[in-house]
Amino acid sequence: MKRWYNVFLILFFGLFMVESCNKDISLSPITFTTTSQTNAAELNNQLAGLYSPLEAEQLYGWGLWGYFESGNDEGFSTSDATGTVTQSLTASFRSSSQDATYMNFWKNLYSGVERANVILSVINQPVMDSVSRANIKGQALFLRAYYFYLLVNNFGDVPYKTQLTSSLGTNFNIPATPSKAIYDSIIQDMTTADSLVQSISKAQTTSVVTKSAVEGILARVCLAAAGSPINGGLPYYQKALYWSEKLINSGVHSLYSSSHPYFPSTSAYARVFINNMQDNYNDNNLTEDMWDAAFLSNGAGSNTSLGYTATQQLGAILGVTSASASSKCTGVYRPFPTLYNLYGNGDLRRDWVMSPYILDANNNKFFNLGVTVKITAGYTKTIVDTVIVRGVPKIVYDTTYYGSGATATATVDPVTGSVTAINITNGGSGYSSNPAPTASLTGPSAGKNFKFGTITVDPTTGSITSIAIANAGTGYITIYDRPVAKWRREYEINFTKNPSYTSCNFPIIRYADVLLMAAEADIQVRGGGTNATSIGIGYYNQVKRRAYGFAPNVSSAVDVSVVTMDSIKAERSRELCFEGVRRNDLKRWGITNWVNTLTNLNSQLGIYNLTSPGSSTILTASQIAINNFLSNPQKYSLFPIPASELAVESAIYQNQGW
Amino acid sequence: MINKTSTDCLMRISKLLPLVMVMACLLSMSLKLSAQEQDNTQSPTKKVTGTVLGADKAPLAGAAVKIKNRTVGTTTDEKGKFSINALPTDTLVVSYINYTTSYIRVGTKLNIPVLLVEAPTSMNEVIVIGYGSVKRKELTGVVGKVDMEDLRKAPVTSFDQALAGRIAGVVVSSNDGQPGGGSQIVIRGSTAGQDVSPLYVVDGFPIENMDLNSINTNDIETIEVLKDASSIAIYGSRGANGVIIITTKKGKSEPLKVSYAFSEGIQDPTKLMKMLSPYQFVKLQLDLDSMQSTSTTLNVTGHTRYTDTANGIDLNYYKNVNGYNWQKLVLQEGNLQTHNLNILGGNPGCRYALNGAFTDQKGIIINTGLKRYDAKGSLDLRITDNTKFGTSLNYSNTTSYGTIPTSTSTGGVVSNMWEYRPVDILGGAALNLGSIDSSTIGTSGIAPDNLVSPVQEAQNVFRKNTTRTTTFNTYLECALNQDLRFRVTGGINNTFLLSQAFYNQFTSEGTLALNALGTPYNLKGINGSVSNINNNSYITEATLSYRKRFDENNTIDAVFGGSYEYSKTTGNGYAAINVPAGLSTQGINNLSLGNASTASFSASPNKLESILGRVNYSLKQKYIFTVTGREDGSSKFAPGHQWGFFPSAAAAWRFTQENFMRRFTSFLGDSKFRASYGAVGNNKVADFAPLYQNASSNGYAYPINNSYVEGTVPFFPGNPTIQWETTYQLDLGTTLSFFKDRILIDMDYYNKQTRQALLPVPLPLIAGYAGTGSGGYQYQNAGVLRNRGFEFSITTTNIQSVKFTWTSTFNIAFNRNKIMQFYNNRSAIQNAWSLYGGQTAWISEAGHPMSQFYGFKWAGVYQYSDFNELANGTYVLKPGVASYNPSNASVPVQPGDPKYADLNKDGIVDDNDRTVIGNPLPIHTGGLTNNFIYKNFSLNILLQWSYGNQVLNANKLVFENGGYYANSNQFAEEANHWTPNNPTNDIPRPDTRLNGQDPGGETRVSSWLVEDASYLRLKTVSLGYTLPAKLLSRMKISTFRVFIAAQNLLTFTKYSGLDPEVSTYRAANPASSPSGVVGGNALAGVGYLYIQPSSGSSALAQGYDLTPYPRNRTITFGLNVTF
Repeated sequence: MKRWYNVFLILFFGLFMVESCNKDISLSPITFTTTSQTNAAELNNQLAGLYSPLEAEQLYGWGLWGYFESGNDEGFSTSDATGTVTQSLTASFRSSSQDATYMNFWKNLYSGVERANVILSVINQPVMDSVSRANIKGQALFLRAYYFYLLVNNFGDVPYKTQLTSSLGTNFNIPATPSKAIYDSIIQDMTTADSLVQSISKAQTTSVVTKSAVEGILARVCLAAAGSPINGGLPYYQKALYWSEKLINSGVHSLYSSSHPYFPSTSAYARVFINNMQDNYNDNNLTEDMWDAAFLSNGAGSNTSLGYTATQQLGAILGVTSASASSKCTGVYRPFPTLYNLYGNGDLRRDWVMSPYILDANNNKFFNLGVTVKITAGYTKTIVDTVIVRGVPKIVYDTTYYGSGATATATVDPVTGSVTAINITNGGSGYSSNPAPTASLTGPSAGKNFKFGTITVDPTTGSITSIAIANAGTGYITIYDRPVAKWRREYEINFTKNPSYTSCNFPIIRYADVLLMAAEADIQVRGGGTNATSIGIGYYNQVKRRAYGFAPNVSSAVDVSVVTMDSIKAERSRELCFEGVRRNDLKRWGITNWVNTLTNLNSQLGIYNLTSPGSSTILTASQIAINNFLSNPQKYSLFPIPASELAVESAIYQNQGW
Repeated sequence: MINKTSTDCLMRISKLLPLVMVMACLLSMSLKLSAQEQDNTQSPTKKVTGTVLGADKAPLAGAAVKIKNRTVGTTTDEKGKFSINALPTDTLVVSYINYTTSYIRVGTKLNIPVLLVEAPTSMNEVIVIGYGSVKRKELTGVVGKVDMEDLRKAPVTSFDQALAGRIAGVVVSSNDGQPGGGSQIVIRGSTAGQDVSPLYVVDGFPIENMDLNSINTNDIETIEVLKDASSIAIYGSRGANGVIIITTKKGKSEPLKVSYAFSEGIQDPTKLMKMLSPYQFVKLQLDLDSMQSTSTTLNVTGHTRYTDTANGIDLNYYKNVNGYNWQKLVLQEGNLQTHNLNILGGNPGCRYALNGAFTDQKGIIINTGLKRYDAKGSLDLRITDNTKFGTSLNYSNTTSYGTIPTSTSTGGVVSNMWEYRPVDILGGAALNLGSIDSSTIGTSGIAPDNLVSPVQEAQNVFRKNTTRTTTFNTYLECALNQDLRFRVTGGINNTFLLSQAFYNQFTSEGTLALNALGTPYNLKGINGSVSNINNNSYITEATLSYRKRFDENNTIDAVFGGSYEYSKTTGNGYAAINVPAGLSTQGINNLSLGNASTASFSASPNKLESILGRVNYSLKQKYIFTVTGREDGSSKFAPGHQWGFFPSAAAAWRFTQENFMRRFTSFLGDSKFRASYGAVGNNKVADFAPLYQNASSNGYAYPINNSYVEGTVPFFPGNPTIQWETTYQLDLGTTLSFFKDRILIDMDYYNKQTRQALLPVPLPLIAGYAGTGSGGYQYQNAGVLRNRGFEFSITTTNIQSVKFTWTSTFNIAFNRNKIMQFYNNRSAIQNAWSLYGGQTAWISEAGHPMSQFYGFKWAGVYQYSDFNELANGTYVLKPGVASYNPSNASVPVQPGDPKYADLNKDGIVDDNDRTVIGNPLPIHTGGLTNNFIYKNFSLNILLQWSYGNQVLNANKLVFENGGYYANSNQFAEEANHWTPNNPTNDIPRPDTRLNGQDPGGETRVSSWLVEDASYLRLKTVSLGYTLPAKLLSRMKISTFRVFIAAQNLLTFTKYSGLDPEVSTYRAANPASSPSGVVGGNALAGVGYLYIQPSSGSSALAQGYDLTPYPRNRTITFGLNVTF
């Protein structure tokens, strides 16, 4: 018995004694992988994760085409007037470094950067063919560079973190790299990526990065580096010209010259946007579109609660205003009058950019955007009875109306927004001067101070003959107040619609932009004005011809023979407005230029309906935004570094003014 | 005059209560009479010799040996020997301090060995320490023992609810009053880590993350709290937060004893908030109208809803309207019922214990409550003379159900019962009849907060959490020889948590209501979910104990052993949405009829290997030394950092054993000085904290050519260099016993320094990890913390007579906590609250206490005098008046808006004007217990307090700030809001906001919300009556006791909220799955297990009050019978 104990004891304690205290007792994870390992299949999932920041609200779900574009000369958001959400504060340049919006924008971009870093660190691990490997590597290199482009462009000098987080240990105090050096690295990485990624004709989709995306974005990045505030100048213009012409000469893309096959009554210009709204289902969009931020789930129907990102608000807040319950659109984005006036007669783009109609609850088109006069017949009320409703006495009336059938329209001065005339379209019958009919203004109106004068009734016919105006009021909706409607929910194809979100793709870059960038670089490299080369003018004319319904590659009546920077600036607005490029365009054309543009705009807005600052007219928000910008253009040319980031990272500093 | 003096005097006396008790004690002593015995014996005597031995058969020198009823006496020599002349009819009386006096009939014997049994004084009390037990007098460390007798005086659902105020330095605070809600137990100040709960050791088996509900209070024999490094070090790695040792009842070698305990009680909320009356509410709505009207737009929402002047319904009409008291409708009288059956018994070869219990609690919020079933059996067998074998099986099933009141800014029944409006809208449906409040319906796509009445919500929400704990323990112990014992133990612990939820169409979560445009608010429709977590732990330990008395001066007591633990947690769950309304009559059982929505799976293991040893050396029974060491290897760290060694040393000097102290023995009993220093560790981090982990989820998926590809992203930032946190603790203390234990004093000073403190540290966003928190959290050895303090406890027997006994226990503890240093140049860590976009509400700064409230200094309300009135009627701030929204802002500051101090005087109130605005940590905490026994009656009174701590009363921002939600009710204080006619500086003007939005940014974390939350609570009063034994013996009942007990009877506090003992902040588990992502395989990082309901409380964010479950006052009647 005793011996048995001893053997047992020796064995048991022996085990512990033999164990060195440096013995590795690690366990293996069961349900997750670590970032240092991958395989060919997982690489595809990692790639999807690398793309997913594009769907973030702050990127292409709203921010980059919406609130971050605030402070340009194209349009504004009416919802800013009350400033009820953080995003609107941002849109109005009334934000602070505490705003979660900036934090999330920054977070999504750096998440993308690290996801690319991880892919690039393990790209050589899996056994796979070299073409696929190169293609994934190229996409990772490009997307990392693109996320850095969005960072440097919006935040200025930022930490250029291409090292893995896992190599940093616990010290994350990385100082910022100067913007120009970041641009150079971006251009270098994108150039490398160009030789690695596949062509769009092979990919057959706009939802992944192809040579088209790389070359188009390279042109954009080089133009940004050439202009303000980097002011890289000629070498970068040359690069921009090189990359845009490389793409143009490859012949892969062209402008759409015909309307969408399913919607023949629309213009060729609209085709890209209809395709976006349809997720390119019916038309693959490869001709003109080059790279989309892709969206698929709208958070409703079979995708409810499955966790897919549903952030896209194109169509739901920017689009044709609609009172429909299922495919609602608040239509809060409105163009500035200056944009409306920028379009020439016959330019088909204008009525696509700003819709001449809105939709009612049943999706009927409603073309009269101005104010409508509602005439209510006069009536008498007699007390019939008193009833007790849940303890509260209620009086029951009998009402007799005098008259019916009269209709009238109001004419609004397009400049002042005042009501200039009330036109009787149908006098009706049975009206009386006592009790007299009353009138009110309805429709999508936000004006004020209007007062009706006397309503004159012909005592013999009982019809209304005239309605006087006692006070013309101000701020009523004018022709300029059309909703911005490049992307329209009418073309949405989701079975179950979500009133708040759509699945619309956003075109990050499309061929028209490349043509105009080439034309601009051509002016900068080969000389502008009358010196502009026929090549550059040709690029410009392609865009212009298509806008007026001509074939892009055939000479037309609208062709120009001289292209200046001013014509480029105007044409970019006409063609690319609300596509998220204007603010950066203004910025790279120089802060002085930007200030001048907005000063001019501001003075015009003053003429329109901003006579009393602080009034709740729909332009208030944009004027506050512009005023704030003009008060300190340097400050507002960059976003603030998120306060939460400064709290935990000691090597970076806040941007000037924030 | 006389009155004043006597009150003063009383006040003074009450302040000097401990002193009074001492005096009372002395008084009672002096009254005691001593009797002289007469000697009248004349018979022949013989010489009798003997040896007096004490504990461990050690000879007792100086023991008194007398002959009963005679004046003859002697004392033993150094070897315990005595010699005395006595008659055979004499009786020897042998007495020794701290030993029970022995009476021995001399008879014919000439040599009489006397073995004295130690007296059951507190100094001889056996204290269970790690891997052994020791008598209190030999204890070198600091161990607090709970008086279970007292603790059980008032029935509770789990022992933690009765633990507060019992032991100095053990701060027990419950988060709120929710049934099964659990408490936070902090011993000698907490460390910063995410889980500050101590290690529990139940019958020798260490359990991390113990579910306190799994232990039946009536089955607990003893609870001991290890506080100093020397005691804790034997548990090395995991003792940093202290150790609580629980020993359950075991069978004894005595006849079968059956006891049954029953109690039944009622529970009521201790406090209701005073809300606006219907009149005040309607007045507020009308005031809101005027506040929101502008010169061009008239706001008449309130007027049209509540007034109809044409029919005489104006504001005054509401003076006579009763309205709805939603608090009364939501709250009910709760009920607590417990049954407990204990069967103990055995013989020398076999001892057994059986325990069964049932607890049923009906919560004070309708449709909330708790049910628990416990069963336990244990068997101890003596297989051979030298071999013992024992096993125990414990099963516990706890179900808590009902709505969760604590929530963020939106929803929650407590929130709703305060904000739901008290009157109907004219012409609208009655609020208590309709299924939704149709007046809240608007065109927004987000469901309004008050869509569903709180009563309907509480009645219809189905939430059920079931925790099943099964523990199987066994041991085998062999005495290898007289000195050496070998013991091997094995245990399996299974904890299974099942969470079920179902929201039908009458709840706000499952509503089918449509907004004004005809779109459903809730895309999930009727929905529900089921999830479970299963944790299995295995432990095996082997120890070798050696105890040898070499001679009377040298005793060694040593233990050496090894331990292996493995634990694995798996979890899975699923949800279903859009369950058809017609087919959901069976609630959660109809879940399969909905659309499958989410499925998740997780699994994570960890293990711990340890070698431990302790040597206790006693020299001359006066000097006692203890050296302890434990080497632990944890799989939670990377190779190279896995092993930590935690040594400690302690010494005690029983100075009253010294000869020069003998002359004081008349009043100074067995007393000692203690000193200890040592290190203990902490590894409470996620299982795979060193690894940089990926996560995959639909939330990171991307549609490539309109087909989703699941996304995999870096999720959890590992830290391969992470290592053991080590706490070095110095303890200096003394235990003093006066007047034969009638006064017992324990005093300790301690200084704990935690180095390499483990903390989930928020990373900058540039790290690019997607995990919980803004930039993901990384476990880091973040810095150095210090807790130091002083503990004092005194136990006195104030009066002891045949009929009446009065004993008191008083304890007080002071703890100061400071962050000494952060590594990596970090200066502070900020924590945010859940309101208003998550502003920073706490700061943890180097050089300051661990948790401090951080925000703006409240400076009253902007008054007209701060403004210039422009011609157009607008108010523009005067130059020099600072604000957060200047006049050119879109929402400029207006008269009546809250004002915050511009501390840096730069004219703008911005983040740079924030400062420390309060401290949630108390200056001292403690308790006072008084026990009175008169004949068969006993009375127990426990007072418990916390002094100097503050609470961030976030409720004020929501319910005392002028209508956080349009149309919502407010606390009664709100009636005093700012108006042009009432330019108060206390409450800003009314203003409505949308859910959680704050366009003007005027609502901030400010000193306005910080309140003194010191309190003194009459925690327990229990009155019992034991039936006379004579009566019972006829019925073969050994004891029969009835009692009536009350808990939380009275609370004295200045705090304006429901209860000053509150903590509703919950930190996200940094190691959990991707936050906010439903669906897909969210697989990352599960690894830090939260089983305790209190988990998620953060030491860095304490003292937060937002819509807690109301605390209840319990009055119970009960009986205990033993057969």
